[in-house]
Amino acid sequence: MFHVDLTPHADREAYAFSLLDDEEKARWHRFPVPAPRRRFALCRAALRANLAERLACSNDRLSFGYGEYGKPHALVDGRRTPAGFNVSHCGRHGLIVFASNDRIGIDVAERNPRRDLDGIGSMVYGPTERRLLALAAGSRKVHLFFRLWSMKEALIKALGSGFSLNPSRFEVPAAMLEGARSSEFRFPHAPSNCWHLIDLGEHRFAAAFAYRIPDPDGA
Amino acid sequence: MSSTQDRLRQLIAEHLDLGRDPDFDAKLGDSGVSSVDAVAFFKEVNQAFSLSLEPEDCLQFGTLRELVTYIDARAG
Repeated sequence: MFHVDLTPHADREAYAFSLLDDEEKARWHRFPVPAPRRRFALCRAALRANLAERLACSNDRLSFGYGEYGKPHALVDGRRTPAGFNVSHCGRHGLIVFASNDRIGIDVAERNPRRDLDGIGSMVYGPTERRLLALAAGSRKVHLFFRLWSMKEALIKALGSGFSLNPSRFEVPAAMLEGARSSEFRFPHAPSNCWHLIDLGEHRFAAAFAYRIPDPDGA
Repeated sequence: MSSTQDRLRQLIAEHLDLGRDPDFDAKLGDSGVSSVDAVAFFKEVNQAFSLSLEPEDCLQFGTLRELVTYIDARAG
């Protein structure tokens, strides 16, 4: 797992931009304001540097394809590689995880107080999660909201479904609702696959990492 | 400009920190908006237009213009 410093820095941003391919530069231009441009360029350049090393290829041979729901995968000379990775960023922090397959997901979110956390939670949390959120108040509600958010988003990113799978259709493991920092997890719609979910959060930022546990036969 | 577009512009100003006036024809995926903000925004859209969009429904809208078209069609 790598941390990417997303603090504004003109020279680093210019160098990062120089590592992007034409498609990525076009995307960079489509971001309407500087902050998402900076996050994209710095995270993508860090991803490129790490993948080029892991795949033993030069940066210009590397490109990215996208799954049905937008999850990126690495291509070398236009051919898909098995290298797995996932990226998340929030504020001035980017996180990148790597694995030998693409069944991994990471999420980081700053615990910013905001209006109507219960209302937002009603769209994405399951019954037990909503009940716990309703019982919490003040800073504990903020903490819980983002803890749940990061865990559920890490899971749907690992699955590759994004929000095509409504996050209210599953709940994080009971042990983690009770405070455990990690647990095994199974999606209700695909219980044969087992995932490992880890809460990486600290006081200011919620973060979580999920990966699929290989089957005993290695699948 | 439609009243729907005006109302969405107001909701965006109140709930999304885009940093500039929204481009209704730009790809939502290139807006730089976080997933938390996106879900919070669609919750506001549901309330404002009496809709019941779920998170997975929101993926159908590539641009804000497509959301305007959807809302106007529902209003019939």
